[in-house]
Amino acid sequence: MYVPSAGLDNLKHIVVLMMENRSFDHMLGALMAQDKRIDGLDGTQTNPDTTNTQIPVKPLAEFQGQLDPDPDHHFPGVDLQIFGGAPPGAGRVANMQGFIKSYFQQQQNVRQSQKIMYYFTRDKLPVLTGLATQFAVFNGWFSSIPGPTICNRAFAHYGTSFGQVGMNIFEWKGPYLSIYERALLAGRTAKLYYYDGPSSTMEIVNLLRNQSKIFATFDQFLGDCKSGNLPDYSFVEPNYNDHDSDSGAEIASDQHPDHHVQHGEIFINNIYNAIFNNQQLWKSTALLIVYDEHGGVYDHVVPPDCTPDDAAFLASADKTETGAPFAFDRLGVRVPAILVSPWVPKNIVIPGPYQINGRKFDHASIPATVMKFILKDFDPNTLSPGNKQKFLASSRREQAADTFLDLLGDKMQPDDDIPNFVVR
Amino acid sequence: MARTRRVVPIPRPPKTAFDKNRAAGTLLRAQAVHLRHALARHVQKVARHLSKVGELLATDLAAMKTEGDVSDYAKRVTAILHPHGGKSEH
Repeated sequence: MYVPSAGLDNLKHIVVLMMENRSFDHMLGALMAQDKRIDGLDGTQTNPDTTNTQIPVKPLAEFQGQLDPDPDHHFPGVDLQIFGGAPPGAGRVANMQGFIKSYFQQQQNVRQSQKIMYYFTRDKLPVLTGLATQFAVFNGWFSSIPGPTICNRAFAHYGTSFGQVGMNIFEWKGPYLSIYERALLAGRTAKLYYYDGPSSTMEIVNLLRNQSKIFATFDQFLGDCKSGNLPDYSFVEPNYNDHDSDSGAEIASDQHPDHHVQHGEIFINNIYNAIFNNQQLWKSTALLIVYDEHGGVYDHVVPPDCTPDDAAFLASADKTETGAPFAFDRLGVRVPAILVSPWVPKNIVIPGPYQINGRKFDHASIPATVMKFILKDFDPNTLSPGNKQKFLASSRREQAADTFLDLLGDKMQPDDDIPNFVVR
Repeated sequence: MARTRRVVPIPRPPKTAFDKNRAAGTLLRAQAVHLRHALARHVQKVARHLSKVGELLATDLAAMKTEGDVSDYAKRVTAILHPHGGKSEH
């Protein structure tokens, strides 16, 4: 149940931008130096390298050329990163001590493996840190699975990955509809905006097959913002690869290693500006900027336990490749997440699960929040019994997920205090 | 009226950031596998569709006598020509 607020009353659109493969500490950890409420880095966090030397975090992250090869972020690799190499079994303790060991396995290069501990200084990421300190930043938003992209993104679309912990093709098995299909059942509008044809989408097999009306491109997103035709719910995908287009070179904007991080900053800014520049839209939109998973890059916060997903979705030991099954009862590594809206009080930090009044979020929080948004003024009893059942069905993980629209307050931040990022 | 905001300059990435010859990583390779799978499913669907189209084109229209005959034919053709059934494209 929501506490009513002017921000919630005015809310007409939720926009989610999901970037790629960077941890919270890597992108936002430096903010702790200016604001102790932010659960970031103070320079004392370390990981052992393969010579057993303790290597501290260092503010030396670069925009490109540093995380090549792409750090491992598949299920067994993330298990090593979280548990430091302790084999699965009762009594092992998550300690976030296996990041350098994991990265070392890819090249057997001690110096390269230490770079997994590097993080960005605040000045290098003016857009992300500027929005984080102007609006709401989450200390406790975790990827949904300690694993790679496709299964984590599935949680944002369905509230579950249907038992998948990897990158393999999977078919929608039901009974849970995507959040887009649920929105349409309720007479609402929803779109997944992928960047363009050459970049395509990462939500391919399930939605692209039958749901052409749900998809649109980023150009249409910009047009919909300008014309005031943005759907009730929008999910935006960045450009996943470098390619040529009629308008010239299109640089990947997803920030996936080894894509240029600054271009992702510009992409985030383009979305923020597209919403801000339509005054009515700005007053009625909540924009969540979040990363799908940590990409193998260091974070110091132990992913917490969570409500297991449906028993039918248990991932077998051969799927996890760790020798143990996985019940989706632990979240993945922490990622950056920022809620942007003029109705969010300035500079708030949402405490993480190990802090006082702490909360934990993951990508299942996205469909859970959109459902609450829809149900704010939609009565599912107006649906046929069959459609009502389809509309309301959700995974155990989605049912247990925290939601974030309570962060909208009664007062709007004034425009003249809001950052205008200008590319120079 | 233009709304004023606090200006924060941000840098532009260098032209060298663009490299379409960069080796494709596991994510993009997986995306290609998923796209091919989706295409295969799509082709299967189109093939089923084509067999229906052939049947409908071969229908002897002169043999249709009743409103029921015509409406049944119209329903099947319309389902192919307008698969969303008149629902708006948001």
